[in-house]
Amino acid sequence: MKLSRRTSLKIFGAIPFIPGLVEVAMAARATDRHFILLWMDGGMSHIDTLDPKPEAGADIRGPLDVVRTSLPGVMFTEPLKDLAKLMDRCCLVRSLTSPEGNHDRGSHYMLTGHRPSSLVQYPSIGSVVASQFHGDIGLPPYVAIPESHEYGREGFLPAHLGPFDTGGDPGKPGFRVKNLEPHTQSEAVLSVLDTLRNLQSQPLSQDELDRGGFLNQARLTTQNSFVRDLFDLGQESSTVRESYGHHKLGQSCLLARRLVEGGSESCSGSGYGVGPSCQYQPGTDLWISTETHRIESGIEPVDTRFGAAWAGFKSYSDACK
Amino acid sequence: MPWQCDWSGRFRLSLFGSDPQADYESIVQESFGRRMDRRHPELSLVLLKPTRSVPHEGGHILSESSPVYQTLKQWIADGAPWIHGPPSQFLRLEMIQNPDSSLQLNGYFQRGTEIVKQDLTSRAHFRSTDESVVSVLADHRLSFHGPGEAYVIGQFLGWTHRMHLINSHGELSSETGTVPALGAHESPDPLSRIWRQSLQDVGLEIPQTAEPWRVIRRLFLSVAGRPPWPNELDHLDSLVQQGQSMESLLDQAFGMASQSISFQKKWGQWLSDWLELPGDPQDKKAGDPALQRSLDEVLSGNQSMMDLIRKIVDPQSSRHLRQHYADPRDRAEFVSRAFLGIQLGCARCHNHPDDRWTQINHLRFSACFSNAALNTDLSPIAFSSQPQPDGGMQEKSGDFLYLPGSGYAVKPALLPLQQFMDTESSAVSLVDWIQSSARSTIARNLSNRIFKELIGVALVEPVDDHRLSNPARYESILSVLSQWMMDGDFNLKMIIRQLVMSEPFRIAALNPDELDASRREVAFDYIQLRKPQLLDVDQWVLAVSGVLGVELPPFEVATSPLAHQLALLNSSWFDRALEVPGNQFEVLNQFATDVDGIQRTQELHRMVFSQPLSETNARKLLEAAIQARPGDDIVTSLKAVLRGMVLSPEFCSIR
Repeated sequence: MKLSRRTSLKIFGAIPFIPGLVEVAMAARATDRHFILLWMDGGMSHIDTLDPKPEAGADIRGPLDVVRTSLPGVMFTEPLKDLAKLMDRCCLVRSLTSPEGNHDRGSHYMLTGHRPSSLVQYPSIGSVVASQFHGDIGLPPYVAIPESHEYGREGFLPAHLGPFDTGGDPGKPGFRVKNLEPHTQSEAVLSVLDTLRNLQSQPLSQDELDRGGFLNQARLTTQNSFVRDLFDLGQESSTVRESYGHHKLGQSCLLARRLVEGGSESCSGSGYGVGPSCQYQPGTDLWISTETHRIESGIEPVDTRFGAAWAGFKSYSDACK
Repeated sequence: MPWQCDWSGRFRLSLFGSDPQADYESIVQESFGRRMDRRHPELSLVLLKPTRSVPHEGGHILSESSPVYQTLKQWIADGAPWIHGPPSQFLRLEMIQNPDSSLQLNGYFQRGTEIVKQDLTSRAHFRSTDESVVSVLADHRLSFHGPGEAYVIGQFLGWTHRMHLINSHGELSSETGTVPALGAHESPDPLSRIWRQSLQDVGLEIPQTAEPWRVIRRLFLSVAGRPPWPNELDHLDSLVQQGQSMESLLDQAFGMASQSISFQKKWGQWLSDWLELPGDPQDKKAGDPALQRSLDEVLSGNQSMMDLIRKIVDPQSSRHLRQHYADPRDRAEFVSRAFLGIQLGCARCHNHPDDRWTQINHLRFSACFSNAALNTDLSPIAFSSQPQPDGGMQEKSGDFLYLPGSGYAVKPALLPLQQFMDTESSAVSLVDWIQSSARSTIARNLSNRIFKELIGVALVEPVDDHRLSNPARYESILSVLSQWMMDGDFNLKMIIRQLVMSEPFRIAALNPDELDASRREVAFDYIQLRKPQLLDVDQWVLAVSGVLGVELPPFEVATSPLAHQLALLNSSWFDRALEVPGNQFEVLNQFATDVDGIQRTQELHRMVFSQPLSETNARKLLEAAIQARPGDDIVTSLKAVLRGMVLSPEFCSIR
């Protein structure tokens, strides 16, 4: 579906802080690109990671050295040297900020493009994307791994555009999304339901129809083994799983990649990244590099398969700048 | 204190005029009084600027011919007094409809010994509660549109008056023009009579009520949260065969439903939701033991809901208020919301135009719930009746409610529930006030909530927003219910019985598609009583428990609708449910004589849907299950049939 810019802006309700988002989404659709949001609660210290100030005094720039990235003029801190090599494939936004000085309100602003209001529940970016580009293959258009943020929901959009929470912890051994495997009687139950509908002539209310829509979607998901397999991390090789890291964030990223490969329009993964600079202690660079190394490793498979980097958003407010 | 209207960066007025004294000082005294010219009022800056008679960044707000300009100018000419004329007390509002269909709102004031009437129309707001019936034009004339009834609300400051208007549907026969009398066997209960009269008033004929089996099913689902059991249906069928009246049937059905365990579960949950109790209401160990005992007594009919309310409010009887709400303002808002059906929270921060409740009302009512007020006789150090400019309240040592920076404790005062009542209430304790002055308000609130639970829609919506400017859809019905509530000493079972025996309940059970097409829209758009109510997870589990006749394990709640449906379709919960010893599915198979399972399918259909199923259709259902999994034995196929039935839309909502 082709959308004019004007129509898209109307539909998206003018998300002013990311003016190019609509174009990104439309371009993604045109070239089969999808949308993964990594919501990193806590937020990295930008001057210790992606926006170092090497020319500032030592009390500001911190103890970390800087490295050049593959993008001329752009430097990262030394622990991110692997990510630095891929910068020619990424778009780095250092100007992103929030007018809200409160974590909770800032998160709402970042996830919906609107400041919180007691009158309106705004849809999150995942639901907005899902509303525009959803196919009907039984794969939920918007998946949250393992669970959606409080403000990562559908808002005033229809309920079917809300996130499907996988639940559980993808980093733990034996992780499986519940209830995707059909019950032995599922086929029979669905057959009985269809027969009952034909026998009972009472028309259904809109609420009942909406609920029935979810049952149909559940039916599609259950009957389609391809969809079920997408949620199965066990189908990935141990090498790939190792490269993403055997923890919740890493395996969530891997699952998100599998799902957008399969056709889900948007995924969100959440994790806890490094803390703010005010919590940085000398001697903990190993911790920082370990975490970011795992994140960085995940880029390579993404890079080779999709040809573009995924976008990550910082949730952190200006409080720790 | 929120500020607004920063015209020049220095001149400021309070938001919504919430601080008249500060506004007066700003207009009259600030900047050496440069905004006023008492000798030449028309040259006052406060008039020149909004009329753009001098260069000004703001817009053209006033015209010289407007009543507001003239009033301001006269006031300046009179010396811009703080109080204009002798002190006056607002007595009442009156709204009248003139012969040319224009509205007029008059206010009556007591000035000294004199009662003065003043036309407030030009300064009032008017609106209709249903623009499809009547609307108010800019010149305050009424414009009638479609048939129905509506209220026109007139508001001046925080005071409200309303007028009830009817535009007839014109359905009643011109030959009779009368309401059909109730049948000889039908008890002429006041609710049904008033219901019919209200329909007649709008010119509508009485729609037929639902078939007996549908009314009875809805009664069981509404009262006990489960469908009627087959043996109950058999008993009621026998009464129908004997020619007993509908009223007798419903009475018997109510007796069965209200004595079942599921009645306790359903209404226990309802009471817990109403009282905003955390956790599982069936967990006897949690919460306040005294409160839990009271809940049980209310459910068994041995105690009235007013006693329960009194216990919650009385600190000697229950810890509930103090345990769950640390801030006295939260306690006050809970009591007003849950018991009085009044939204007080909006006035917590500041006054709102056209709102009945002021910040002072909120503050002083909250002071009634401070620890000192709850624990001892009221003896505040001193009090201030004005909120301070920097706003906000703070609790100091949990004893009194203080105004920050003032050192004053707020003097408690109960809410003036009657419009134009003096805010200074007499020395009545909170508990006594609940049982006396607030009694009718509480009855109204509870009646509305129970009506919504049984019928599907409320008479006043939202249920915690009873006010003059938010009238009930059927005021006469709500009045009757409230009177029943008070006369019956707030007995929960009694009021439930009255409602399910009434004609509105029987109409609420009707499927609009059972009416002929020509009358469907008119009757149901107007009545709007009947809406299928989707069962939530707990209600669905209760209903399935009722079908199977056993206590079932809880169903894990999923976070998204899709995940929920996947769980219903694929989880093993239902398998575990059918393994609970003594469940009706097990009993059915234990004594089965039909090898092919057709008879059992018919019985399952009656258990789930309260209706018989023909042999032909039973065969279709069973074959649908068998063909999907040909290798299954007959019992496994019947499990699939039962599972499909309880997942169907018809079972998953009260229709």
